[in-house]
Amino acid sequence: MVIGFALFCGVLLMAAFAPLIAPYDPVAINVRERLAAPSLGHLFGTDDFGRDVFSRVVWGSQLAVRLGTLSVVVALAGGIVLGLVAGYYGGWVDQLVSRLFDLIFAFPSLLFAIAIVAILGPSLDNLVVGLGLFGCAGYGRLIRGSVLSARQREYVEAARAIGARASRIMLRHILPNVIAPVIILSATRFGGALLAGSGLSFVGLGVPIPQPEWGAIMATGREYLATAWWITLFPGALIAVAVLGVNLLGDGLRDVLDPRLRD
Amino acid sequence: MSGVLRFIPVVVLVLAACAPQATPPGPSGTAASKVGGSVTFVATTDPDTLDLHQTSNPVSSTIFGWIYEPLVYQDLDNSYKGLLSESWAVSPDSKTITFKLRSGITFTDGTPFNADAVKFTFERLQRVGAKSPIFETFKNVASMEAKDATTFVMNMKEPYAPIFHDLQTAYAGILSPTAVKAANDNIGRAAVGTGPYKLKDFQTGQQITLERNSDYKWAPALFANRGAPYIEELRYRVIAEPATQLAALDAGEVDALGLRAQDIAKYASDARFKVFDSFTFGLTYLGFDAKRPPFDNPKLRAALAKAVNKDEIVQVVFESKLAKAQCCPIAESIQGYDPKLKDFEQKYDPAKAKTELDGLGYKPGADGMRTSPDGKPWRPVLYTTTSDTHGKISTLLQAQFKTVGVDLQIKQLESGALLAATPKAEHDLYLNGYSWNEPDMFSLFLSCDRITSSNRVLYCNQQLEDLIRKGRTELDQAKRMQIYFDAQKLVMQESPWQPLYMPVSKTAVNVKIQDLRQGQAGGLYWHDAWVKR
Repeated sequence: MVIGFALFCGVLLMAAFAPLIAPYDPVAINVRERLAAPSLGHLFGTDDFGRDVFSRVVWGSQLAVRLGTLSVVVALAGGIVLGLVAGYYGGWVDQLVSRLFDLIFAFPSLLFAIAIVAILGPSLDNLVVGLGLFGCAGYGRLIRGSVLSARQREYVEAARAIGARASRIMLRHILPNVIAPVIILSATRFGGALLAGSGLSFVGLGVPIPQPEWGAIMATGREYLATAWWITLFPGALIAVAVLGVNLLGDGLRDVLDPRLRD
Repeated sequence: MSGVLRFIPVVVLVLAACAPQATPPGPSGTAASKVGGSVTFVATTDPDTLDLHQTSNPVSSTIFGWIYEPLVYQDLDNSYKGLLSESWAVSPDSKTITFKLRSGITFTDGTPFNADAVKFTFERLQRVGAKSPIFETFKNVASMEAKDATTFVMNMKEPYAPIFHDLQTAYAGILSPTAVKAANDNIGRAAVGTGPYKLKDFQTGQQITLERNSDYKWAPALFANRGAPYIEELRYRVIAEPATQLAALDAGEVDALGLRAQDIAKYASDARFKVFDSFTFGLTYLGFDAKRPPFDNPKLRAALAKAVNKDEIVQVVFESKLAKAQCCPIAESIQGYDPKLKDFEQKYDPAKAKTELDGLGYKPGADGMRTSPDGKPWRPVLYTTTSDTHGKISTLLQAQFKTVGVDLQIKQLESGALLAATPKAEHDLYLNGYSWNEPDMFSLFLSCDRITSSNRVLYCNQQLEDLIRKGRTELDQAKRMQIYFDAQKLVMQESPWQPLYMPVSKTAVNVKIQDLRQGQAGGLYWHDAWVKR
């Protein structure tokens, strides 16, 4: 968990201080220095437009963090509301919401995001919407299940007996008791969103050019893999490190937050 | 849409016999000692049929292009010359073309070529040719007449100058009526023409073999070899997979192959192969939405056009290999191109672009980026496809515009969405290409009545309309070229387009093949080639 936390913080810091860390403008083109190998001037070399790969990777972390955070927030917001409502009210509301989740789950996550991006056009916001909507179903199901068992508990009965409104019971009494697995899931989702975002940018459906998205940088490097490996290697390594970090963090959080795993 | 952008495969191989006049014959061997050997090409798919009236398949047309010959061919300077015809005359109303046919030509079944055969062929095309790319053109032909053995008359409903382009395609080859009747009209596997090769063997899914027509002796005057081709056999092996095609080329089982971009470097440095250029009949251009402010102002278009560095695009995106920078709306592979038009090009000149933008009121703000004359931020949006190539060009254009203080935004759309967005004038700039081997491309891509479809820059100019109409109906080649000179000059001055480049493709050919030459529009001329054994 410590390692995960350290890696994750590293990425966050890099994103926060990108303007200070990056030595060059990530989109500045310098045709005379194209495809230069890593050197002191260009730590990670330059790409086919002569842009500094190090600066692009550093600025890319900003996009990655923004994409991960926003898509988790969208998914959380939607998932919590739908999950609480479905679990608490049951009946036809539950039926309706659960079928909606089934519908979303019927698509592979990447395909779902591709469909959304294809309809709305490629941009960071639309990518967030696509990944967030899919994430909704995951959170919603998790929360609905926890709520189903929580709403039978005595403290909920008690709150209902003293006449608390349904919204108050859901938010004040049930939600805090079902939130632990949600936090763990968030770490996994963050990593998943990062991977999916990079994957979509790699195939040209993610963040529009010339923004320095990690997947998009790798895609430009693909053509030059034999001659200019540095364009692909460094953003690829960063994706691996960032996703590993959040996954380790998620595992650690589960150990801490899940009472069944505590001795 | 697909109708408009239908691809007419222009079969340069029809001109198997054409070799540049200036080039001396090969250093070694007499004509007799050159005869023999074989050359193997790749067919990416099985040709559906060799019935030239019942297909638009480029693989098929490449193969029957060796077997059939058309009335005219396109010379190295892109002008039209007689192949099976000697000359032609156009009536004063431009509706009637009278072809004087060459005599002494025979089909490979021994029957003579004459005006009856031409009439028979084109009437068959009108009857069964719905799948042929030149079918629409022949709908405009009201009647045909074989006046005598060497005089063929064609009456059109409306004057239509692009007909010569259609007449030189492999699809307009002349059939032997006797052979067609003998085959009961089923000529998909029984092709008989006047060409330098004849069909020997057709193994479905495997190989098509063509054999030298030893009686061929009507190669046009500009050839070094006026007689039959030297290479004894041409084979087309059906290989679908690019990796397998390359392996076959490496193993010497295939002698010539079109290369993908990533394979060029390898074959260029391999002494066993020689790499030839083939131009393509198309142009990629940067367009401006000429209907909507602010780019309805030709001066603004011309100013920004000067910020475009075409050479840098060709160098960075294509490594100076797979594209050639173009000055003019008609690419140099297409008839109508004239190097004299370079004088009217909006040449790369960032300093001048800046001055002109200043003069139009687009002054730089605090961050160095120009604002609209009313002081609002100015961020013109470039629409293009999601292709890697267009993405890279857009990125470069963005950087080039930045140096003159213009903050260009890029919007990449999947082709369908892009084609739906442009008629609605959502864009400011537009990056795409056309593919069309006829100067009449103006009527498709820059005319008023195509504004809701293929005219992606929504440009409409009455003066150009008049030129387009004249160009379509003027059958005299020299006069017609002057019309397109004027049309291009006008478009270059008004700048709805800034022409960028013509795509170039590459073919690797085994060095055992001697005296193979680059031909019209970068095609390969095989008629003088021979195989070293």
